[in-house]
Amino acid sequence: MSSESIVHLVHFLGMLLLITSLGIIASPLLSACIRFYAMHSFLLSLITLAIAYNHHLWHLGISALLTFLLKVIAIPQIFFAISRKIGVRKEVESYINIPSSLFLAVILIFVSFYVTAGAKTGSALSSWEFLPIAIATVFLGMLVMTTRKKAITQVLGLLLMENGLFLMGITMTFGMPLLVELGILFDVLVGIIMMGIFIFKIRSAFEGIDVDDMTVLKG
Amino acid sequence: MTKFLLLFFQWLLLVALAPSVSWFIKRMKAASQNRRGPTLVQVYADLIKLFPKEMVVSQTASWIFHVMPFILLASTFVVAALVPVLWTDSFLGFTGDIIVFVYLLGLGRFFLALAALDTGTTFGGMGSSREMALSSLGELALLLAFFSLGVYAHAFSFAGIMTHFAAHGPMEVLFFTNLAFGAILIVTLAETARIPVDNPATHLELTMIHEAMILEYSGKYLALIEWSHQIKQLVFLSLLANLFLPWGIFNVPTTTALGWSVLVYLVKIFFLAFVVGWIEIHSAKLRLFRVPDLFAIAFVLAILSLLGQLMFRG
Repeated sequence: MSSESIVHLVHFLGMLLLITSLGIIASPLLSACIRFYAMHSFLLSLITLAIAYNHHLWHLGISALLTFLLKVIAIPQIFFAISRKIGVRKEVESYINIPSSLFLAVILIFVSFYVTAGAKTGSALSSWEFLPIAIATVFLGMLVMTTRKKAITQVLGLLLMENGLFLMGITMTFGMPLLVELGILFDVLVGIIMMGIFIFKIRSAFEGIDVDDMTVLKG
Repeated sequence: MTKFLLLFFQWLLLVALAPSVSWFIKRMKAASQNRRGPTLVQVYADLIKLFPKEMVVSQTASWIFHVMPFILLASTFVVAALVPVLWTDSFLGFTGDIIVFVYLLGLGRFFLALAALDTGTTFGGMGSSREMALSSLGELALLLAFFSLGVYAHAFSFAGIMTHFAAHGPMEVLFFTNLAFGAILIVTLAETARIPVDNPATHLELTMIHEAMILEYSGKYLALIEWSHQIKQLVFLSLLANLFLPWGIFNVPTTTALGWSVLVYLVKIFFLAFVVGWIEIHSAKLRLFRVPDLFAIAFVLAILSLLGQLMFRG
């Protein structure tokens, strides 16, 4: 494949990435949210792989593989296991309904396109278009974190934000050094496991993982 | 003259092929449920058989009830003439035909809803109020998606958009159009009364929308309504095929090119019909109050698509 058509392919994947992050916001079921997250990470690893191939940066290939193993396979499985174990309700509960959170998502995407409109990086990178998409992903992750009631979906929002940061790192700077990326991925994995333990603790203390219950902790 | 004949041929193909596309989806659905489903002849025979049947018309029905099937069919015929099928040109193509397309569909729908109210049955009123509520959401998404394509292609007719896209490579075009594709696909499912929005195979009073409106019709009128519904479905599929996958369309005036074009068109149409059938098999009908969420997704996709055009050009 010529490098031109790979650039177009990467752009196409970037759009699909935006669609899957909207999917996390729009889907009413927890399992669908987790699947959308897995799809999001899969697209992220495909983008990494395409950039690695296009610019002959083979260390990016390794981080694509790690992203695939960790974020597409391991983390969703951990999530499914947690949701099975604590038996949360299948439906996602949020403070605002789906159409208005989608509306907020569109505004956030508008904002992220607006603030990055002047920032067309002068480097030879083919991918300045990814800056707004990465920032939008971070914003959408924040939206998920702030509007969802259950701790488990808030963690999903955090992971979405992390994916956005990873995307920015990959497309703006061709990735951080491999050691740093390994550290980040390990951090995420450990973070998820700790979140799992926390969620269990929250449930045993409050008999539910609705974070509203924690407001009673106020003195 | 040959141009005229060709344009007429593509219109005729669209109108005549319409029942067989809904046959394909029915057959697919039947196969997924371990049934055999109707044969291809059956769907045409159904339509033909309805024509000589006696009609039962309510005594309270006014002229609207009698006029509606003809207006619906006529508006659908004109819509079918607006859409390019085998060629980048269409029978009635002109700049701005996108808007005419959307509002001719609106005209047919308006009379459909009126006629459903006309006989004064509860189901008719329920069906038309639902149809109107949902289509007011869908129309917006459809128009926005068309506008985003138009802005990208610098053209406001189906022919112009298609010619523009056909000149570019697949990945380049898909990057810009996949959001609009999603939006128009959702609107297609809603407009053709397929499963996440409406169930075409049931007469269960709580769920039906389209079927509730035509419950009072029988005989010849029912045949006309069914046929125009099938044409509408094929028109939407042709739009999806030709706007988003415009490659391999007829532009050199030779017989082989025409043959290829027909073949490619059929492949694209039945592929898209397969997609629609696949969605129908794999999803449950949404609760009526959930359907606006689906339209919200279509709307978001359409507006993002429009935004993307404006931003990436920048």
